[in-house]
Amino acid sequence: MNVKSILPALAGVFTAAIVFLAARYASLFSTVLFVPNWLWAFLLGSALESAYFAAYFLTPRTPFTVRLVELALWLGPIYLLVGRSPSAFLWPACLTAVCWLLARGCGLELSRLEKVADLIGDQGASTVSWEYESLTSMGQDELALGFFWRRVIACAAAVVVLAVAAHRREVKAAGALLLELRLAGGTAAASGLALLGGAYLFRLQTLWACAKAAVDPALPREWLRNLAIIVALSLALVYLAPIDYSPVTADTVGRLLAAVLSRGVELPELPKAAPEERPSFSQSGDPLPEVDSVGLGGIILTAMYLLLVALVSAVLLAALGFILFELTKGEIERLRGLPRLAVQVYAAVRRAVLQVLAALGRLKSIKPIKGQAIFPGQGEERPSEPSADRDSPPERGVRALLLQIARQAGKKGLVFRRSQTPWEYGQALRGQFFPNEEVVGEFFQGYQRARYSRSGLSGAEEERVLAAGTQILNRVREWKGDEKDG
Amino acid sequence: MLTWKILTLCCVFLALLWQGRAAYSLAYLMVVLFGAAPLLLARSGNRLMVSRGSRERFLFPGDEASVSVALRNPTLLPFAWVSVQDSVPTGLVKGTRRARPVVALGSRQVKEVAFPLVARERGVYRLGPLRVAAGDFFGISTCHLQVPAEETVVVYPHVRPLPELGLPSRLSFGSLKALERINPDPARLAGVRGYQAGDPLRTIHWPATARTQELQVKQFDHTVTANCLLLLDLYEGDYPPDHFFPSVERAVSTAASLAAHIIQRGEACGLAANAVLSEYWPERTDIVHETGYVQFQPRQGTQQLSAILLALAGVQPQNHVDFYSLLAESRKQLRGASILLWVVPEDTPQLLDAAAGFLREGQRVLIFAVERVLHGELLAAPHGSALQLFAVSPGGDLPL
Amino acid sequence: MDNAAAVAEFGQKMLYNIGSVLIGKEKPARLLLVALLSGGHVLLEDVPGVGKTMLARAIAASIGGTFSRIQCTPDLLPADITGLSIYDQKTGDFVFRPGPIMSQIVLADEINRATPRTQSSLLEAMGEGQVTVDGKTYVLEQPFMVLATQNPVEFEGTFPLPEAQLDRFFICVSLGYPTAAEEREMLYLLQERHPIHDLKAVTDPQRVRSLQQAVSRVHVEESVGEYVVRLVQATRSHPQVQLGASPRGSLALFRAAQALAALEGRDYVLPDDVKEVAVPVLAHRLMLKADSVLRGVKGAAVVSALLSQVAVGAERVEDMGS
Repeated sequence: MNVKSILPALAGVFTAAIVFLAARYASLFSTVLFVPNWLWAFLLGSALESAYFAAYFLTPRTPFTVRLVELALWLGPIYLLVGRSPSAFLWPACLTAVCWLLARGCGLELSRLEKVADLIGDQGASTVSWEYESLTSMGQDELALGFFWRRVIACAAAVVVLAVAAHRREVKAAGALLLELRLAGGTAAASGLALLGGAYLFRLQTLWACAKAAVDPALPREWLRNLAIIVALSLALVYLAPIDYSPVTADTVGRLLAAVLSRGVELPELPKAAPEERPSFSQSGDPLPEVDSVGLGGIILTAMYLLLVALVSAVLLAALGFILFELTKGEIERLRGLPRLAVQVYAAVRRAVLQVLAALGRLKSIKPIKGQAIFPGQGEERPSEPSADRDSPPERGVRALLLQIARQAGKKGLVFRRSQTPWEYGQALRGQFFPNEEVVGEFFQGYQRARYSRSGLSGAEEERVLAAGTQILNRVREWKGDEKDG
Repeated sequence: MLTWKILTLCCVFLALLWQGRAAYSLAYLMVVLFGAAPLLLARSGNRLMVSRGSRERFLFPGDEASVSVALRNPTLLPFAWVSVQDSVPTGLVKGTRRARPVVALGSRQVKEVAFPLVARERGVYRLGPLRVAAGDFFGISTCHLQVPAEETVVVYPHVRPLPELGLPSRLSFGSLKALERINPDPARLAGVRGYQAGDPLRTIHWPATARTQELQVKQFDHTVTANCLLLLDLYEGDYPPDHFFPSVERAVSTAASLAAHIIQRGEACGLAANAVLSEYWPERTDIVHETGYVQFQPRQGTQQLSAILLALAGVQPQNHVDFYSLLAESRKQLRGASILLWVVPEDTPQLLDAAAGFLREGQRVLIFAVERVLHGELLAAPHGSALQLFAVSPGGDLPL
Repeated sequence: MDNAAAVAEFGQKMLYNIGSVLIGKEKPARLLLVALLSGGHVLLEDVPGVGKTMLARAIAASIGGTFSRIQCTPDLLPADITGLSIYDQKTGDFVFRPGPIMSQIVLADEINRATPRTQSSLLEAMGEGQVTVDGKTYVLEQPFMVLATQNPVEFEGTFPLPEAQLDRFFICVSLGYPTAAEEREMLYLLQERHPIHDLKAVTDPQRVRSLQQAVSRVHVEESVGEYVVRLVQATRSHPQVQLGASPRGSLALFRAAQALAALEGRDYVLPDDVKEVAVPVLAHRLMLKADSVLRGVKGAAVVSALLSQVAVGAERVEDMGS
């Protein structure tokens, strides 16, 4: 599978989605920045063209004029569509050019990733294991795909800044616009993650080819399938996770800072309690101490603030501790004072997290006891009379049913091999189609008696076995292959 | 990586402060990718199960085989890629590079990867440990494991038909002049004699006792066997330095071929060599004599041939015990007369003197010179002579 | 109670009894019961100290039969096994002194240390169920089972059993080392007194004989019989085998499958029974080619490979394609 062929498309979609989001958020601030709907097609088209051209055709020797002509081919129609008005042309042209340039960067990077031999020399490429190691073992501060990560995170951060600005200015997006924003956000996140995963696969494929590693042909397919699952799960998590639960926000911090600056060390302005909400004991006319004038709510709020400050301090300390721990490679004996405290806090948090994980792991390991497999054993009811079709050819009865089941299952990939016994085939069927179901045992136990015992099955037993077999046959027929990988 | 973790922390703080779906989304994504994913990968990597198909493998030179390694991911987290590298010694590498299989390993999936091997040259090789690397889908983190799963591969010496060695195809050892007595064989009743104090009661011949009215005991003949003992000279100083390794390999191959020839004729064959064993055979105390030499008493059967070839697969030349010390040691071990087959680089006068000593004791000595013949006149000695010399042809050497 | 159920009940009681003195050896013990019920003899190939003797003693005690042990050495004579007639000078007559072979369960320890002649005298007794001493034939008391052991590691001073003689053993079993948990359990079980001394018989030799008769009546459907024949014939044409299993081997496989089916409480044999006993019954009967032996090929691997190749013949599955 040629992964490179789909990567420029992902880069184009990601770039267009990001520029779309940025433009939409920008248009919330000013009507001047409004963009017409037809521009989205231009954004997507220019991004795709630019990414593919850069990935496949652009070389350092490509004349600069060719690049200008390429951009002009996108800007020209826009100029015509906005009615040849320079002022109306400026913002759409700017967006298109940004989109084109961003996608071009991605395309160029894909082209660069492919040229390992150019970068490290032919000799290096033929003994590429060190390069491979350096890119796959992340001992350094650099990611294997630093360019793409920086590009994706920077673009996402820019959009987030715009979105937060809109949120804080209480510019609300609603209706179709909200839907558009959510779709574009989802598309940007999905295509961005897919681009990162795909580019990493492409990078490794290039290196594996140089190192002549024996790569499983199914790897790209499995990689992309698993990547799709992980991206979908990540997006679902992001969308379903709670938001806006932090008690310490920019507003509260701002107010706190303002209060501190204006009134020294006094507490910030506390919510005023309504007169009827005053504590009852104040109404009794008893003289109250000064502190009590703040009230119980004030005390609780103060305690909450102190708790929050402690929490924030702990988080900051843990973060600092983590950084120090990484820097000192775990040699905390070299630290003294606050740095050591920070590392200890980090270690405590880490231990707690590990304990929680271990507890979750233990919970997971408790499994229900599965039922025992049915074995033909003693104490079975002896048949009262032999079955009528005991020795009949396998056109009818239990044996014929087994043949039908085997034919159907064979079509679904579970062939009844000549060296398999019926019981072994039954176990394979159970594993493939009927996990934890006893119906297979019942049928094959009955089959064995019908096929191999001298007495065969009684009429009632045969009916029961046939019913079980029919159930199996129907299940196999209905099986679409999506319940379990064949 | 640290930069990205700090960036993640910043995103989280900013999301907490700024609020809003977009800020939280970015923060969550960063936490998932840079916080949770590396932890989960490390945890899953530690639980990755790697095992080999077998512990011992036996090949002949030129054989091709493949070593299988099973990978099992018992966790729910899929590995984007798992690369396995086995420590395959150069003498077994097929092609110009060591194989490095890469597979994707889904959740709770089991896969098998194969390493092709080719037996280039005799030896005892140790495969392993296995180095396994696994990574995520985004190039953020990888985990590395070293699994001490070891496997021994034995490449037997090349066993060739005698004509390929320039030896007569029906190498005859002549009539045996001496028999070795091992144990009284109850199948070989030799007669009866009068009871003597100390005779076991169960050997009393009761019918004879009844007839003579005196206790009579049975007398048995002893088990007899033909005794061929191969003596292989692997003293470094005896081999020419300019083509040392081909000569040594030819000597080992000659010894192996002779052993196979003798045992396949149904005769007993033993082996003694002034050699050291491969470092990977420390556990095979059964093929090293207590004296430090490699030594096997003569015996018949495929098991004996297997044991001799196994020892010859692992013997290496050494420079502290010469061939004459080996001869002296072997002389002590000899029981009765034997046929001695000496595999040496050349028939030096000193060697012939030593042979003369054995001849005086009633032994037969057959010398196989693998490098050079100095006493060509002995090549014409008639078959069955007490001392015979053979020149081993270098034509059949395996290309190294 | 029908015959198969009676055999199954016997099997459970025996396994319980054996399990009380030997931890974690249910599978080998089961195979030994298969041999006992089929009237066959067992070769135990294993290193010393894994419980071979104890297994034999436990079986003997459980069936209430007589037990004797022969420690094989190079100077062991045939008469030491079969017994001999001693001249009584007072009466002027010969008096037969029976050897250890006259017991019902005989443990021949390290059989490969005895000389070939002594080995063959033992094997003849095993094959014919009788011994002849000084022209007089003595029939061995049934049930009669020989458990011979040999150490697969040591070769010094041994006379390996010829392949042709190995054919006389009904099955070849390896006990193997116990797991850590089993070994721990064993330590505490044997802490004070070995439970073998308290082992009670769960049946009697007469009953074992009748159960042997019952096993021989277990139904073997025609296709299963053909499967047995196909398997044995496949051993004869295998490229790594010099000499395949003999007709004695196919008969043993047939009987072993019957015994296993009966132990499962069935009065009919399944192809699965044949597969389960194929390796212990057939592997030791194969004489492999010299180069296969040198390449480390084992008889068990050859039989296992054949089990995954030879058609079972349950249904005409080849019609379904693959």
